[in-house]
Amino acid sequence: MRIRVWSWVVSNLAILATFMGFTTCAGDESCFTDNDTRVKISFKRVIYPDTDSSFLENDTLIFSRVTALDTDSIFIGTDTLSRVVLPVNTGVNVTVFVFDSDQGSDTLELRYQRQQRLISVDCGPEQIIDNLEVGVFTFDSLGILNPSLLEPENTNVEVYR
Amino acid sequence: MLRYIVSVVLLLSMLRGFGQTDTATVPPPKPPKVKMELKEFIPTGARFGVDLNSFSRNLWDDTKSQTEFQLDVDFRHYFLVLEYGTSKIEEIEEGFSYTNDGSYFRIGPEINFLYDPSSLHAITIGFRYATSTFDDLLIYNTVDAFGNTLITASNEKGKGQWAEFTIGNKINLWKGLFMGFTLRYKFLKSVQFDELEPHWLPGFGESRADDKDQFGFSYYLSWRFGFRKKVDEIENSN
Repeated sequence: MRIRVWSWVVSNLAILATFMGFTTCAGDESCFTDNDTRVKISFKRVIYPDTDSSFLENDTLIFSRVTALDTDSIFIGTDTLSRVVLPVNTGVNVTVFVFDSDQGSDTLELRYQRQQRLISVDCGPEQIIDNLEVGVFTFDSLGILNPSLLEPENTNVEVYR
Repeated sequence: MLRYIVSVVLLLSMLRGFGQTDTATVPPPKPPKVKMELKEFIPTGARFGVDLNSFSRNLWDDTKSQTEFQLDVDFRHYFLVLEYGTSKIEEIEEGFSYTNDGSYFRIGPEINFLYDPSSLHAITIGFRYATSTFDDLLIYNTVDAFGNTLITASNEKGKGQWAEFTIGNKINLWKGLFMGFTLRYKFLKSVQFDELEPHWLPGFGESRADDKDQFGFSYYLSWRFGFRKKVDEIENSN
């Protein structure tokens, strides 16, 4: 089988040029990310309508201040809420929150894993907070509903009274 | 979407290459049925090439440098292909820096659909198993309610592996000189890492957990070192 070599060469060089042009233009991308580094905490009250059943309802607390150790920032001032959204300390793997409310002063230690990644050279880096765990706390009881902070809408921790 | 358009263009270009046979002057002879003998599979040569695509990119992209070599050995209409490369990235931008330094190795078979004992041209379809090792480092600064924090994350001896389907060609330009491309579809990627999700996997390209597959392209200029005459040449000389 004879082949017109130079025709092949030209075709190949055209392919090379096409691909190089493609790789040059391939950088258009969105920097949008759903990633969230805030923990979502809901407060619930356990209701016992009779001795055999129970259900949860939103527990509204009157906060005077919500803050965390290692910061002077006040995340929530005087407010009445049943759900709070609080930033975790992205420089370390643990954050201790302090809740001052009409229920008294409570602390909640949250531990988590941090993973770094570069979204792209144009968009820059981001941090993913995952594997949320509860450390020491003074609330009556609580539970982790969602250990990943990735989803902005999902509640991560429920506190029960 | 652009990737798929480009892959279609490349495939069409290959088909155009198929159409370049000079059938008007040489009618295709009907090959006689010949029983293949084992000695036909003894390699006749090895081809060593350098990837011009990586080399040319080094000229205009001062943040990335990559070098890639390919070695193939023929076994009649099959090739055993070995590829080795190194890559280095230094992205220093406002607010962060990312460096990645590593190497990769690929091995796999190719089938030559243009096999003809009198010609060294080839159109191939192949498969690769690929593996890479790398060190990378991301440094950036965050400012939030907890103050100003310098974040440093790295992988030492990170590892990745993946598979590739390839199509390509090898054109005999002059004596032992060849040029040709290899188009790659890279899939089944898995990466081991610690606290830093690697942005770059040497040999694979950009690598995010939610971005599984990639296309790749190599363009080799190579030289073939013949160490044995082809079977028909041996028989003709006797």
